[in-house]
Amino acid sequence: MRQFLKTFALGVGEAFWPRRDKSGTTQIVPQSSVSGRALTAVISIMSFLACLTAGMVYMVNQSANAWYNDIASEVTVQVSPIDGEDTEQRLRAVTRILKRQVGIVRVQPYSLAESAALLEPWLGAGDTLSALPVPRLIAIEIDRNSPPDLSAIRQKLAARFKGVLLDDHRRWQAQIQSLTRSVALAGLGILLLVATATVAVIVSAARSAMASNHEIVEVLHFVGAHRKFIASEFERHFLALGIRSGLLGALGAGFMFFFAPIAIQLLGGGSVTASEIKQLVGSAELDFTGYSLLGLIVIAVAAICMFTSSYWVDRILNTEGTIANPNTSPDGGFSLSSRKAKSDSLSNSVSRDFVVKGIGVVFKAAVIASLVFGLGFVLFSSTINVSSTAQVTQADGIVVLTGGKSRINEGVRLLAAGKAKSLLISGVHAQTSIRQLSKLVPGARPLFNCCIDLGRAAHDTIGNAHETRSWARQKGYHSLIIVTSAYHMPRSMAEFRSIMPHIKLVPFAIESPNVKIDSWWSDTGTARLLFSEYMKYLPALTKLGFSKVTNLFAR
Amino acid sequence: MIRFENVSMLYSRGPEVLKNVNFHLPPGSFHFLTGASGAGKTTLLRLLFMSLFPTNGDIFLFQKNLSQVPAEQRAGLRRRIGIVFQDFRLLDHMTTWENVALPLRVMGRRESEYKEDVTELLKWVGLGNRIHAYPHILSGGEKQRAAIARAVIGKPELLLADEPTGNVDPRMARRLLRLFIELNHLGTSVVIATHDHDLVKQYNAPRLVLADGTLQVRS
Repeated sequence: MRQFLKTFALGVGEAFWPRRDKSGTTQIVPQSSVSGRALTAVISIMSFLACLTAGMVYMVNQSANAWYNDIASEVTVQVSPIDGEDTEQRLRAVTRILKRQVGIVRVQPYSLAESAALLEPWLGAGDTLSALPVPRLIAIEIDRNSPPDLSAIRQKLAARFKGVLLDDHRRWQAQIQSLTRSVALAGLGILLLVATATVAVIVSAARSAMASNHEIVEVLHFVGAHRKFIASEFERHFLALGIRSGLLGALGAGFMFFFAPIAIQLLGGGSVTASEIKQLVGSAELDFTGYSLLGLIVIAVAAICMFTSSYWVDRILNTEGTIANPNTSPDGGFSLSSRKAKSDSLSNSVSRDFVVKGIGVVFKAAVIASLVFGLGFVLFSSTINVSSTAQVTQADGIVVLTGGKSRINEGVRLLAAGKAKSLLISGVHAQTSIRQLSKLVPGARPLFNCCIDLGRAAHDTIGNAHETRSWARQKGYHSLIIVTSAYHMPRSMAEFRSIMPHIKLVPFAIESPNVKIDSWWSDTGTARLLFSEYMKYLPALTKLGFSKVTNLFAR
Repeated sequence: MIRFENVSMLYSRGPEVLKNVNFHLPPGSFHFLTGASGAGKTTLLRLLFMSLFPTNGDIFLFQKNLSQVPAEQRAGLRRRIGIVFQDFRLLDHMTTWENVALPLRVMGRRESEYKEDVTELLKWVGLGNRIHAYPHILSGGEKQRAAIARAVIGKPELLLADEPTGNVDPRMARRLLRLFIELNHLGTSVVIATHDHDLVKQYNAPRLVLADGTLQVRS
């Protein structure tokens, strides 16, 4: 530990105050042999790219989250003009009711002039607007920590006023959340690629530098230097190199982020203002955490440089330049020619080996990925099963996802069997009535009257999950039975689990006509359906994993 | 000082270089190690220097069985041995003086403690006027003497030299031999691996003769 701290202090010192070989005692390992201009440039460029990517991913993620939060915390009420009624009076009445509701932070009715200003880009300025039946808007900011019961407010407004609509932007929310998560995932993927490339280049560059110093390691070893002594001589140079190059890269990236808004404005010829950019992509600047991220990358680069040199010293000492290895030829000896050749060929072949090995690694990775993908599909298809009623445990509610025949029948059958208190049919078409649905299940009309709710907001499985979460939250439910087709169940469970991690979910998978689950490999239609489902399931599974990781960090 | 007990050495891609070798060298002795090229001279030196470990048998050095010495203690034993390489192994970025002082530097000693000793030794080996020269401008003989000075600066108990006269003319070879003899008179055990018969004839010392993997000690 003492040695490490000494090396660390020397390395940090050297990074900022490089020692000159000519002053005082010559360094055992010449600094110039480790931190040549080319090596410094390579590591600086990779650090710059890593910092740029990390900063951009962070910035985009922050902007996307801010965008989502803005939309999620705002609800709009639309008051349409009705003949014979005073719109201003109705607007005031609705505002009064809204202000009395719990969970609403701010209610801001838009005046006629403000509404006209909103429409001006489309309809133009002038008096013509006053002649049109323009709906009036009330912007509501909700408390995100204890949100109001929007369904109850909607019902209350509908009961008291005609032509008043509450828009909670739910559809937008689902889409934007999906978009922000996709952006975050894509960013994380790019960051991972850049980080891998950075590590590979730094390791390769440090390895080349160590190979050219092979002889020094051996001589030190022969004159009785301890491993720690030899390693520390290299580690401090590499640490200094890492800090200097990392800082150069980070400063370059930091400079870019700091002046990015101004640069964009200048490049846009003044037509794109900073405020417009702010509206589009958020602040377009890094905050303190963002800049700290760049600092972390500098530390990581310095650590990689230092540990690579340490590892390579060990490699040289363990093989002792072929000396301690009995598998070498007896002529390996102490002759300079063989040593020089070995050292030079090691240095020269490092970059060639790296490219060859890199291609090999990519090829192997592709083969392994294809195998994993194929095996995954077989596993996915083979594990799809139809549930039996006996397998289903009691829960608070049942959720039927529309999209397949007999799903509603099975859900209602479970409800009638007393498996839960109520049922939500999620994803019902806007024009489908409860009467039409009740006809699908003969004799279940009383259940439809008392215990079945219809959800009309969902358009896909993600939408089903969001709709279900709102319903469960409203009902105070902690466990749900999910009813859907067997082939659709894995993806549904992944989506539901990522959106409502704290609710216990019980799958109830049902058979679908024309889908031969037991012999999927022999039926082209079923295999095609399952493959398409598998392709959708993988992103859902990734999203679930990502959500679990973020939840873990959130704790 | 050195004891080999039934030492055998087999490389995976070659014949058995040493077969059941046994010998004992007392402290303060002087020996030539001879044999044809490829007879195993370098292998034997490498075994002594813990750069190789035998396939079979035991090597005792300074009363320690080398196969039982932990890796972290080997550096301590190496400091008691001076080694002269056939290819000198001087570091090109250091002056002659700095190359010679290197073993003391890695021991952690202060420069002020050994400054005079290094300069005096360099004068003794005839390099007093080459103290600030870098290896690339030294002649073969000068490099060899600098390498010898580096090997003996730490006052080793054992000096191993691998073909120390291989790169020098006969006059320089005689001069280097006198240097080794003087060191031996000062108490250092010396083992010189060479196939230079003229050199061996110049000094009446026992010979370790390697042939067909076996070793014979000849007076």
